[in-house]
Formats: sequence, structure tokens, C-alpha cells
Amino acid sequence: MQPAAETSALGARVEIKNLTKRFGSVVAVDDTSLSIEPGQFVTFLGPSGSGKTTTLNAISGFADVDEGEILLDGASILSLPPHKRNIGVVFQHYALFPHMTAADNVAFPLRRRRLPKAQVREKVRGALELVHLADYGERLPRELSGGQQQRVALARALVFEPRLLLMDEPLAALDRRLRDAMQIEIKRIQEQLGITVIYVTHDQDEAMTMSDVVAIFNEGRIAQVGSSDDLYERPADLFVARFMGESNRLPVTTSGDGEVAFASNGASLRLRARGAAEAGRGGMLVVRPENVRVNRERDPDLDSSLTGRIGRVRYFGAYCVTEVLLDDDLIVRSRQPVEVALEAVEGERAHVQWDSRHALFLRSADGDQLSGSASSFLDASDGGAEPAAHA
Amino acid sequence: MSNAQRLNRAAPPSRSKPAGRGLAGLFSREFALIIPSLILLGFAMGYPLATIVERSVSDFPGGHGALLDNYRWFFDEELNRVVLLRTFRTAAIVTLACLVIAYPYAYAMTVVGWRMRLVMQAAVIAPLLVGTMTRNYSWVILLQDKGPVNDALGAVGLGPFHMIGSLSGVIIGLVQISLPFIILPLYASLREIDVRLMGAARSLGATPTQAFTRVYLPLSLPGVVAGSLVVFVITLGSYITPALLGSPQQSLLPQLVAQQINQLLAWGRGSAMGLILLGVTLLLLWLGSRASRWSSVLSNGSGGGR
Repeated sequence: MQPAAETSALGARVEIKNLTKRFGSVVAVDDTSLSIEPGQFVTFLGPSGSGKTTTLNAISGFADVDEGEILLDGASILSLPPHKRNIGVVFQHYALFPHMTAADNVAFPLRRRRLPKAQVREKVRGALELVHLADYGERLPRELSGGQQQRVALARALVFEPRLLLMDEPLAALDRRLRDAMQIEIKRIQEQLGITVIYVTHDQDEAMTMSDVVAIFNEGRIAQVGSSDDLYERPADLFVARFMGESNRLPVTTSGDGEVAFASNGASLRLRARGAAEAGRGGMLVVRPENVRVNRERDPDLDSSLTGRIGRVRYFGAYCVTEVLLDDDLIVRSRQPVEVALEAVEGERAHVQWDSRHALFLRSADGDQLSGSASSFLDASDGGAEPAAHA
Repeated sequence: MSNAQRLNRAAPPSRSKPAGRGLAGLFSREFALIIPSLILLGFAMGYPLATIVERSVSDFPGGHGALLDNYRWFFDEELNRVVLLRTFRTAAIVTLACLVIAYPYAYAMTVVGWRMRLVMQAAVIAPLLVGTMTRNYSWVILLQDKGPVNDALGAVGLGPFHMIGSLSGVIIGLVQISLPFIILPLYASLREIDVRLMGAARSLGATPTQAFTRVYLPLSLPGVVAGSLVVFVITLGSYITPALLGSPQQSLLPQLVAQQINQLLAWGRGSAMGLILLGVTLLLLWLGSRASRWSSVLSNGSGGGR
């Protein structure tokens, strides 16, 4: 039997209301509100310094709050010290006590709660079984691998049956393969116990595969809350579009309902895009690389079409990314099946096409750089339209 | 450690290597680096020590005696036993006082900013730059019956306390002199403790006090043991401070040794006393090293014992 599994059948409801936290003159969390349903797996996603960890620390009690309220099942927890909040926390750095065995680490929260010895033993065994480490109880943390240490930390955070579990980039220190396995493991345990989980990460793949709800943080505020596909298909702003997955972004101006004008080579080209309403607004036309086709012949079924020269073709194994240089030195990237992409000849002219259903117009925010090149999380594989390196 | 590992890796597996290679490995090029200190140690420590051992079993006040007569005399004389006990008691008090002062100080050093840390470090090390005699005579001036300390105490209606020429003065002086030797190792040890573990403990239901006693304190024990041991050993062997701040009626063992040798010219007895002090000190060092190895096991504390 697994006592930890039986008893905490339901997760907690978490409500964050108008939370504000300042460090000196810097506003780390700015008037943020969020409501989390019992048993939900919610991910806080965002670049470093976006306020996601500060919000998590406000919930766990490690950071005090300047304004706002945090409710756990309707009751405020802000006046409670961390040790009375009964919230499980898993840290990126594991934070296992190095002088205690794995079993003693897991027993720590139970002993603080003065549980009878027999019950402690029982629950520790259950928790270690839950993370598949039943035989590792007598090992010291330094005798365990990184993945095993993190699983002990998980068992320790769950053993006292909290109804809310906070995880602060728990897999960031692990290598890719282990991370994938742990994601599945964490998700399995969360579903088995039914507890509410708030998971902080800056890895969008992690966020997309694990979460019921993703909250994207940007500069202390939540830019958008929604399911993974919501955020991917219907990003609320350019920041979300850029942060979730790869995207091509063409600078455009709206010219009417559902229509934008793209200045290409002196001429103005009309393209259709969702989200374009009143005319005369500057912004970006966003289209994902997997929705872009590159063909020598023009495909009549696709209603949006540009032309350019084929640039580099990058091979990823399962697919290729073909770069097309538009006439005014913007690059559009297309994700294509390998056999299609490899037919492309560098320098040859080609049609760049997509279905306008996949094109989305998003307004430029103030201070949002058009090319987005300054953001640290944009790497070379980002599909943004940007000036080509050479003509 | 890492040097030894590197050497091990460089050397071929021990089974297959020719007999000479083992020795050659020991006297590697790195070994040359410690030859100067070995020579110095041999002349300044090894030779005198050998002489002392030899005298303790061959030099007797009456001109002749049995091999262990000097040692027998030491334990037969009640005064010697009293002084030995007093010496250890004093060392224990000084060590404890140092620990009480040093632990918060060393902890503070780990949490302040680097500027403040430099100041605190300088404050610890500065007294070491002042000569021993200067420091001891300063204490004589400060602690004398009509000195500034008694003046200050008198102003608030206390005292005067007779500190010079008593054990209390000796203890005050020894604490001040020994402090750097406990603060520095303690700081080195506390610095290594991941303070984020306290946060983890809090999140698991530990009060701030429990987080300290269950996590921080156990992890700091190796530093506590190392620092305490140094202070204890320094205090056991200290001669100048007890001589200047204490009284002959309450002398410690090193003073008794000096008396035997300087005044009574009893080299054999003095040597025996010195060796007894050395023996007990080595025993404590050994126990201490065991204790610091055990401390991780002991501090584990949870084991089910409570």
C-alpha cells in the first residue's frame, strides 16, 4: 500500500490576487493575478527575471509580498511562516540534507510533525516506492545520481501529503534524456496523487508537454494564461508568440479587416491575417515554420505567397529547416520533410507560401523591437524574419 | 588528495609494476617540494624531541634512577596532578568561551557583503600582527586593579575585580589570543554550508530553530571540532600568558615545566612533564579527528533515536 497515494486525493485551489513584489526600485512581480483549480498542473514559463520564481517564493513563503493576496483553498497564507504553510517545495539544486540518508531526508518533514515512529517508517517507504527508490533509503545524497537525488527530493516534498507542490526548475540540472524520463515520472505522480502542482521553468518544451495550464511571465506580469495549444495557436502578443515555439515574423501594417500590407521591394503586398482589425496599425505577421511551404512551382491551394531565393537548408534528422531570403533581405524559415527540403538548390528562386488561416497579426508593443534580436532566449534556430547577413 | 589520485592514475596497475616503481612513486618530483620543510622539521622538532625523550628516561635529580622514575614522580606528586587537571580545565573553559564568541562571528562572516567580510577578516588577523609580549602586557594594563576595565565596571557599580594574578585574567587573555585560530577554520567550514538548505528545511515544516539544530549545526560540526581542537592545544601549551597574567599559586603545566628546567635544572622531570602533555594532546587530536569523522554520522541524529 502507498499511504501517500491514498490520502491526499485532492489538490488545493490557489488564488493569487494582485500580487506585487518589489526589490528596491525594481518591480519583480507587478500586480499579477492567477487562479488555479484543484489538481491542475500549472507551469510558470518565462525568461529569467520575469517574476516567475519570485511569485513561487511568495507562495512558499520565502519572499514576503508588498501588495496583494495569496489564498489557499480560500484562506490567506501570507501571514503564515513557511514551515506552517504545508506546501511541498522541490528545488532546482535538490537541497537534500547531505548529512542524512535518503530515508532520513524523506523522514524529515514527518519528524518535524512529530509522527509516531512506525508511521514515519511506513510513509517513508511508501514515498520512496512512489519514486522507485525503495532500495536506496540507506544511501547518502552524494552516493546517488542527479536524477535519483531529485527523486528523493520529490519524495521528501510529497511525503507529508501537501495539497500543493511547488517545483522550481527541478530538472534544469539534469541532462536531456534524464529530463524527459523525469517529466513523465513527475506527471505520473501528479496524476496519481491528484495534487495541484505549480512548476517553474524556462523550457517551453517542458511546459508544453506537462502542463494543463501555462502562464507566461514577462517583466513581472503574466502575459497570457492558457493551455499549451492555446498559447501556441493563439498567442496574445508578440512576446508569447516568440517565446512559445519558433515563428516567422514579417513587419506589416494593417490595411483592413483581416488584411495586412507587407512592404516588399518597394511594392506593397496584401496578405490576409487573423487578428487584423482597424487599418493603419503596425505590427508583425506571425506564421510558424511548419506552416510555411517552399516550392519551385506556385501551389494554387495556398493563398499567401511571397518569393525569394533559397538559402541554407539545415538538417535535423526528422525534418529540415529551409531558409528563404526574401527580396528585402528578410529570412523566412520553413520546416519541411527531409525528402522535400533536400531537393532545394541554394540560390534558386522559390515560392514561399502558407494558408492564411495560419497567419496571425500581432501588434507591436511599445519598446518591442521589430527584429527581436536583443532577447537572450532567441537563438539561431529561432524562425524570426530578420535581415539576412548578406545580400 | 587530487595529487595522489593523479599519481595513481599515472602509475601503471600496481600488480604488474616492478618492485622499484613503488618507491619511485613515493619519491616523485612533487616530493621534492616538501624536502626543505622536512629538513627543518627534522632539526627543529625531531632532534629536540628525541633529546627530550632520551632525557626523560635517563636524567634523574639524584643522578640515577629507574627508567620511568620521572614519570612515576609526576603522578606521585599531588601538586602535579592538580596542575595537570587545572591546565585541562582552563583549556576547556577557554575553548568553550572561544567557541561561543567565534561561532556567531564566523556565521556573520558568511552572510555579510564582501566589504564587511574583509573588515571582519582583518579584525581577526590584525591581533596576530602584534607581538605576543605587547598583547599580554596590554592585557596587564587593561585588567589591572585600577585599569580601564575595572574603572568602567566601577562606573556602573561593579567590581573592582581582581583579574591580574588570577586564573580569570589568564582565561581572558588566552581567549583573545586564541580567537583567530578558531574563527578562521570555523568560517572556512561554515562557508561551505549551502544556506538554501535552511529554506528547504523551513518548507518541510522546520521552525527556524529546528532548521538550525537539525541541519546547520550538524553540518558545521567538522569546523567546530577542528577549531576547538586548535584552541585547546594552543591553550594547553601556552606559557607566556599564564606567566604574565596569572599567579604562581595557580600556575599551569607549562609553567611547572619551565620551573623544573630553569630553576631546578631537573631536565629529566621537565622532559617527562612535557612528554605527558604531548601525549595527552596527541590523544585528544586523535579523538578529535575521529569525532569529526563521526560527526556526520552522529549529527544524522534522526536515525530513529528520538
